[in-house]
Parts: sequence; C-alpha cells; structure tokens
Amino acid sequence: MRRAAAITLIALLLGGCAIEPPRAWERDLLARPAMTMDPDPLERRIMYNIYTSRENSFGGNGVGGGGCGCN
Amino acid sequence: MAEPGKLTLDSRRRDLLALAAGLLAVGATAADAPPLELALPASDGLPVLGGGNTRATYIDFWASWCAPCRLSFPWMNEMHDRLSARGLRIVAVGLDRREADARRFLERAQPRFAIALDPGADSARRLDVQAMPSSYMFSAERRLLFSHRGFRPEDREALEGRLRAALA
Repeated sequence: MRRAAAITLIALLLGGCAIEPPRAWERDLLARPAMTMDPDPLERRIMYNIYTSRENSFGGNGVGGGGCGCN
Repeated sequence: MAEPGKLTLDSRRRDLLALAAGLLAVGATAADAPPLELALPASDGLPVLGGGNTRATYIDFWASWCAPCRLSFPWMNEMHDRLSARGLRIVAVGLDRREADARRFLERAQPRFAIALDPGADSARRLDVQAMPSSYMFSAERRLLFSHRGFRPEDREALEGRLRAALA
C-alpha cells in the first residue's frame, strides 16, 4: 500500500517535468525589459569599471590601477 | 518450436522493419500532403492562404513585442512595392494575444501589404512556428517553397533573391 502511494507520488512529481515550454508566440511576457537578467547594461559596465580598477586581480572589465577608474 | 534466442532476433528485425516502414510513411506524408489552407481572413478580403490568383504568397508571423519584427516591416513594404506586380502577395499574421497591442504596432509600422490577426495562434500552430518572426513562402498551388526563421538586416538581400526565384 505504502509502495503504491510512493509510486503514485513519484509519477505525479515526474508529471511536473512534462510542462511544455512556451511556444515562440507566447514569449511576450519574457520579452519585457523587466524580465532581463541585466536590466541596465550601462550601469553594470560603469560599476564593473570602477570595481575592477581597484580589484586588479579580478580583471575582465577594464584596466586596473586604483583610484576612480577614470583611465 | 523455434529457439528463444532466434525468436528475439526475429522480433527485433520485425520492430526494425516496422520502424523503417513508419519512417517511409512519414516521408511520403510530407511529400504528398494536400495543399495547405489557412482560412483566417486577411485585410485584403482573402484568406491568409487559399484564395486569389497570386503566383506566390509570403506569410510572415509577427508580434508587437518582437524587436526583429519591427525591422522586417519596412523590408516587407519594399518587397510589396517591388514585387506585387509580379504576383507576390505578402500577408503578415499578428499573433498578439491582445488586439490593442497589435493595432498600436500597426499604426507605427504602416504596412501596405495584407494583415491578419490571429490571437489564438491556430495558424502558427499549424505551421509549427519556432521563432519570431518566421516566414513561409507558398506557391500558387499552396505548397511550401521555403521558410525562414528570424529577421536580420543582413538577411534582406538573400531573402529578396529567394522571393524573386520563387516568382520566376
């Protein structure tokens, strides 16, 4: 009895994996700017420029050198 | 009575034959499919596909929220101006769930070609649209000549070439 209940539960949980992804024309909500992972790319670029100018070994977003990151 | 091992081999062979027959049947279905009909009415008074005396129909699926769709409309206006006299009919099918969004988009885009609105997306489902925008070129006999996913400005010339080839 317990085994049957467990199998039913697993089957129901697996059913959750079968949800269809949205079709191409259903992506209107996903296309909104608020849904992007990076809502303000310029703000992010400026922040990382300052950050990596001080954290020199981090790298990847500009030239290190300390200070305000203006160079 | 046959040996069990042999039985398994036979049943495997039978399965493979059935699979091959199935695959052949699928191929035959694609080739011998009846001409597609999309009865949804377009703004020119004809169904999206299946009416009029056009040499070829270019169907484009778009939505107001899709950025490349915005780029494709001026190009389709151009193609309509250049090729409609040669028998090209362009129909852009809007798939917005809210009609007001589609209307707002159309006010900006000012299309000169036919427009149809399909909020239920039945036509897109029938053509199995995988990307926005997607376009499909049909012959006068309503057979698919080619399809294209997405729209990039660098696609313009190649697409125009394909349209011209379909009308030749």
